[in-house]
Amino acid sequence: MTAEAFVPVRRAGRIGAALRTNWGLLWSDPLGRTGVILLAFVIAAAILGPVLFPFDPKAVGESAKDILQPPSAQYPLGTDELGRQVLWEVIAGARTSLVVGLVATAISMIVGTFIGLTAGYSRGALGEGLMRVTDFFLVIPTLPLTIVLAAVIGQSLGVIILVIGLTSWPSTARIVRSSVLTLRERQFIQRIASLGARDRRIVGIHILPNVLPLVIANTILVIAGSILAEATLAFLGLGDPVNVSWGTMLHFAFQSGAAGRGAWWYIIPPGIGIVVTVLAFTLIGHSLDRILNPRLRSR
Amino acid sequence: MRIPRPGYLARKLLGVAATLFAVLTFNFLLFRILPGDPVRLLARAGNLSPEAIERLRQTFGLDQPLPVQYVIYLRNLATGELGTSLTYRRPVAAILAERMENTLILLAAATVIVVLLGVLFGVYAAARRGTRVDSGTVVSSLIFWSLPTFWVGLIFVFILGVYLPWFPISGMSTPGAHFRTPIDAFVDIGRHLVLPTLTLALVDIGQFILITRSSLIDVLTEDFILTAKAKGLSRRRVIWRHGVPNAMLPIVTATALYVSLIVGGTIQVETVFSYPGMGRLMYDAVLRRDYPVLEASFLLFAITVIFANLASDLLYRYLDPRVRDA
Amino acid sequence: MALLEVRDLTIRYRTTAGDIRAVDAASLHVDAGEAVGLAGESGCGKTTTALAIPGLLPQNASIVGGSILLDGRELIGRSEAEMERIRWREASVVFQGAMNALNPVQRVGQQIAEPIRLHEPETSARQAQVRVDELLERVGIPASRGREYPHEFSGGMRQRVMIAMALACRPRLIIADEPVTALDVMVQAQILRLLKELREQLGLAMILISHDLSVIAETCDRAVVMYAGRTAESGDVRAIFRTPAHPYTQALIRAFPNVRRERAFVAGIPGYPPDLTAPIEGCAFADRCSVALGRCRTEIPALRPVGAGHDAACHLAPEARSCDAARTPGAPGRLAPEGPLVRVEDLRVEFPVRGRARLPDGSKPVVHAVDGVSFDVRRGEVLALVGESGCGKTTIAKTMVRLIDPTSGRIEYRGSDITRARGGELRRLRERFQLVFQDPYESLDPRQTVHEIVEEPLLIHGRGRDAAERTRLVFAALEGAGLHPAAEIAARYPHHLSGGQRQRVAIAAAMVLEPELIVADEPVSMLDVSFRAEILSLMLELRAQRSFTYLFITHDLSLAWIIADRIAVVYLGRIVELGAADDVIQRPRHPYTRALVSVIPVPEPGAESDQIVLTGEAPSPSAVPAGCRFHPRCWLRRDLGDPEACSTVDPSLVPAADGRLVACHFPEGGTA
Repeated sequence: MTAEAFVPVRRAGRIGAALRTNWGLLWSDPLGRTGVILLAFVIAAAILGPVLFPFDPKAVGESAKDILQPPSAQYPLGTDELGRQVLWEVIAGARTSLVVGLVATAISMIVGTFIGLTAGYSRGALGEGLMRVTDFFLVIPTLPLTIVLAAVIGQSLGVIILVIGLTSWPSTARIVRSSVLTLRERQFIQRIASLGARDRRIVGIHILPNVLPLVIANTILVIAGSILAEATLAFLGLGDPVNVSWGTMLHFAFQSGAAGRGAWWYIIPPGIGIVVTVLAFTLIGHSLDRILNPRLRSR
Repeated sequence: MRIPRPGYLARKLLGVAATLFAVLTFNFLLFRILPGDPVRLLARAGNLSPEAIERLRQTFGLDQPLPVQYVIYLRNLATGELGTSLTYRRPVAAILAERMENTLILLAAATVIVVLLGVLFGVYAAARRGTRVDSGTVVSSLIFWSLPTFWVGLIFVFILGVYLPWFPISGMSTPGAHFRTPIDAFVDIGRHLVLPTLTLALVDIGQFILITRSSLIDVLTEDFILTAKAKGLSRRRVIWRHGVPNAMLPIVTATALYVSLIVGGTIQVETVFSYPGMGRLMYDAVLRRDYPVLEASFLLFAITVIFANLASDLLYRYLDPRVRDA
Repeated sequence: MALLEVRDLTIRYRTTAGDIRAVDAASLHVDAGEAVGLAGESGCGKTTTALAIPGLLPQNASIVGGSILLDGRELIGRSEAEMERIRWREASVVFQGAMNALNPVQRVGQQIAEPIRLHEPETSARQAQVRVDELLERVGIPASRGREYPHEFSGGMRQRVMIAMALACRPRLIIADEPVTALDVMVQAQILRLLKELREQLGLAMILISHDLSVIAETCDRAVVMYAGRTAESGDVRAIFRTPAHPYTQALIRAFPNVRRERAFVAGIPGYPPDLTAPIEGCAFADRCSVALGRCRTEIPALRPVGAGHDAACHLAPEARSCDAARTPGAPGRLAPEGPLVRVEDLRVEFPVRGRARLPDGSKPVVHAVDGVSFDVRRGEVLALVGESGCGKTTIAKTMVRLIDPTSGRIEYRGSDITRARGGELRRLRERFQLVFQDPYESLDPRQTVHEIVEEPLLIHGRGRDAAERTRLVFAALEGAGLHPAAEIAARYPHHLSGGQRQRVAIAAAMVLEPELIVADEPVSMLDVSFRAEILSLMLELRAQRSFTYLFITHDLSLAWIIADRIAVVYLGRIVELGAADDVIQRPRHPYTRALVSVIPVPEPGAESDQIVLTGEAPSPSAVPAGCRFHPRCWLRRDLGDPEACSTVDPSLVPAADGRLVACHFPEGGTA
C-alpha cells in the first residue's frame, strides 16, 4: 500500500471501537451485566411508567379508609398516610432520582475534571491554589455541607442538583490531578514537550485521553453517590416538596411513624427503588473501573 | 519509635489552623451572604418576635458593615458565643456541649467496628482472591455501600420495633428509668447504642472492605512479598507480617474519606433513632430552620473531620518510614 | 553427586493468550561450591527455571514434567509446608533490584533476622541480633545500620543487605537473580567481588541469572545458555566463551563489546524469538540461525556432549560456525566530523534542595547538577557522555538543547547564542534538536497509532501541506527507520510492537523533521542485546545518509566506545576526561576513567584480574568535595602519597600531551 492509499484511523472510529470492546467486557462481567440489567429496569420504569400507568401520584385518598392501607387489588402497593398510592409514587420517584443523579454528576464531572487538569498541569501558584481549594472542600464533611447549603438556599430540584453537583467534585478533581501529575512525568509526555508542543496540545491530545478512563469509572460511581445524596437530603426534609422522590416518601413515612405502625409497604418499596438504582450504577462503575484501569484487573 | 520532628508537627498544625480559618470564613460567608438579607433569613424561620430579631441583630452586629460583622463573628467564636437557639431559647454552645459527647461515643463505636471488621474481611477476601468467598465479599460490600443509611435504620426500627423488641429503637437511655447501680445505667446506654452503631457500621463497612482488599491485592504483587515467601514464611505470615503493614498506608489515607462518610451517616442514624446527638440536633434545626444551631453544628462537624484528618496524617507518618524522614 | 540436579524441567504458564511453554525440558546441575551462570535474553525461561527450584513460581505456572533433585531429594510434588522448611535454609534467593525486594516499612536488621528466627526457633532474639550484626559487617555494612529502613540505603547497599539476608540461614545454594542489573558499573564490580569472596569463604554454590554474558564470564565456573525455554548449551565458562558450540551462543557473545580487544562493532541477531504459545518444531533457534539445515526445522536437537563437560543442543555442533562477517572493524558509516555545531561554555545548572534543610551559614543548599562544563559537539560526530547515574550527564544534554534552563554559562548553536532563546526561536530549535529516550515502552503514547506518533512532530511544526503529504513523510521516516512495510506498521499501536520496533518508531518520530542533532538518552539500555546492535547500526547509517549529529548519553562505557567518535566522562557534574573514543577506553588517563574502564565486564573469562575497584559511591552533588572533586575516592592520589594540590586546587579540563582533555593534576601519573 502506498502513502496515498493509507487511511488513518479516525478519532471517532477509534472511540466507537473502544466503546464496543469495553461494552463487550462490561457485559461479560457478571457484576457489570447485573448492573446494566438493573439500570435498564429503572430507566424503563422512569420512561414507560407514567405512560403505562397514567395515574397522578399526588392524588390523595377520598376518605379515612384510604389511609395507610396495606397492598390489595385496589392498591397494588398500599397507600400512604394521605391515601396516595405508593406504587404510583415509587414509579414517579425513579425519574427524579435519575435526573438528579445524572445532572448533578455532569456538573461535578465537568468542574472536577477541569480543576483537576489545571491543578495537575499548571506548575506554580494557580495549580497550588486550586489544589488547596480542593483539599479544603475534601475535608469539609459532605452531608452537613449539603444540608446547610440546601437549608440556606432553598428547596427546589434545581437547587438540590446544584448543591450535590458542587459538593461532589473534589474527589474527581483529586483523582484527575494525581493522575495528571503522574502522566506529566511520563516519558511520552516529556518527549512531546521536547518537540515544542504547546500546552493545549499536550493536555488535549495526550493527557486528557489518558485520564478519561479514570474519570469515566469515577463518574458512574459519582452518579450512585448523587442519587444517595438526593435521597438523604429529601429524607431529612430538604427535598423539593413539589416533586415526588423516594427520599421525600421516606421522609413522610418517617414523620408519620409508618415504621412503628408496621406499614412496611410504605417503607420498603421506595427504599428498594433507591437501592436498586444506586446498586446498578455502583456495579457498572466498579466493573468499568476494573476494565478501564487495569492495575486492578485480574492477572 | 521515632517522634516526628517538631518542625513537621508545627507545619501540620499551621496547615490545620489555616484550614480551620478557611472553614470559619466559609461558614460566615455562607450564612450571611448567600441567602441575601440576613434578617429575611432569620424571619424565614418564622416564630420570632421583633424583639428577638433585634437582639440577634445586635449580638451578630447585623446592622454593621460586613468586615465589622466578620470581626464580631470571630470574637464571638473565640469567646464561645455561638448565639441562642431559636427553638430551645438557650445558648447554642450549651446545647452543643450536651450533644457532642453522645455523638462521639456513637462515632467511636462504629469506627472501631468498621476498621476492625473491615480490615479483617478485606484481608480475608484479598488472600482468597478470585474465589467465591472473595467475589461474595465484593458483592456484599457493593450492596452495603449502596444502602441508604436512614433506610437501613428504618428497616431496623420496623423489624425490632414491631416484631422483635430485642433492642430499644429510640433515644440513648430508657426515659424515666431508675437504675440501682451505675453498671445498669451503662448497660442501658449500651443497649440503646446497639442499633445505631450496627446501622452505621453495616453501611460504611463496605467501602472499607473494598479499600483494604484492593490495597492488599496491590501490595501482594510487590517483589518483597516474593522475598518473604522465599524466606520460607507461611502464606498467613507473608500476608500479616509483610502484606498488611504495607496495605495499611492507603487505608489510613482513606480513613479521611471515611470520617466524612460516617459523619453523614451519624446525622441519619441519630435522626432515625432519635439519638440525642449532634446529628439529631442538626435535623431538628433543619426542620425548624434554627439557623444558629445549624451553623454551629456544621462548624463542629467540620472541625471534627479536620482533626480526624490530622490524626490520619500523623498516623500515616508514623506507619511509613519513608514519609517520616522526608 | 551434584548438589542440585534439574532434569528435563517443563513449565507452563496459563494466560489469556493461551498456554505459554516457558521452560521446555531444561536441564542443569550445580555441584557443591560451584557457581553456575544461567544466561539468556528476556523470556528465555532462565528466571522461571531458577525460581522453580524453591517452588516460587506464580500461581498461573505449573510444572508439567521433569525433576529437581536438591541433595538427592526430589522437590517437585512436595507440599507447601515441606517447601517452606526447605526455602532459605537450603536455597536462598538474591533478587534483582533490591529496592522492591525489601519490605519498605520494616527495619533491615529485622528482615535479616526473620528467617533465622523462623528456621531456627531455638535462637534467642539476642543471638539472632548478634548474627545479624555479623552478617551486615560481613557484607560491608556497619552493624548499626541494621536499625535503618531500606529507603535509607543506596541501590548498592540495598543489594548488600539482600546478600546478607540470603546468607542468614547458612544455605548451601544461593540463587542470584540479576543481582547487579540496574546498578552502576563500579557498584556492580563491588557487588560481584563481594559475592565471589563470600563464595570462596563459605564454600557456597550459586546460580547466577543474568542477561549479561560478561558478568557470567567474570563470576562463574560454568554457564548454561537458554533459548526459548530450552537449554542451548552448557559447560565450563572457558569452553563456552572460547569455543561456543551453539550458533546462538556464538551470536550472543558477538553482541557484547569487548574492551580488552580491538574496537569492533557488535553484531545483532536478525529476527525475533519464537512464539512460545505454539509448539516449536525442530530447533527453536533455526529461524534466526545463519547455518540452519532442513533437519534443524523438523527435529528437536538433543543436548549432547561436544567436548569435556561441554554440551550443546545443536545438530551441527561442534562444527557449526555462524558467519562472523558482522563483526566489522569499526562502526559502519563513520564520517569525518566538521566544525562545531553546538558549543557549551562553563555551563552550570543548580537546583534548590527540597525541604527546609539549611547550611551552617544559613543559606539554602543547592544541588550542583552541572558544575562548570565546556565542550563542543562537532557537526556529524557521535559524542558520548558517559558516567554513573546521578553524575549529571542527562542534565547536561537537556540543558544544551534548552529543555532545562541553565543557571549560568553560554550555549551556542551555529555560532549564535541560544542560552536565553525563547518564543519562535526556541520552537525552531525544538525542530533542529530531537530526543530519543531510554524506554521505548514509556516514550510513546499508548493511545496513539504509529502513524499519529510519527505525524505529530509535523503537525506541531506545521510541516507538510496536507494529510497526504504528511503521510508520505511519515512513511518515508518509517521506512528509513527500517520498519517495513510502513503502511502496516503505521496502523498499529505501540503495544503491538516489539521493544526494538518501538525504539525504531521513536527514531522515526525524531528524524521525520530532519533535525541536525539527535540526543539519544540510553537508547538501547532497555533492549535485549540481540536487538541492540541493530538499533545502533541504524543510528549510524542514518548519520551517514542524513548527516545527523548525535549526543549519545550512556552509563555503559563499552557501548560508548563502539558507537562514539569522542567520549566525555562525567563525574559529579563535571567532565573529567574528553577525547577520542579509542584513547579514552584503551588508554584512559584520568584515575576515575581508568578505574571505570578496568571494571567493565567483558565476555572473556579470566580478564578481570587488574580491576581498580573504587570503594563507596560518588558523593551527593549538593556536597561537592573541595579541591579535585574526585580526590576522596582517588586511588592515584593515595599511590602518589597524597599531594596537597588534590585536596585544595580544583583541576581544570586541560589538554594533556596527546591532545585529549583531562581534569587531573597528574594526567601522566602512573602511566609510565
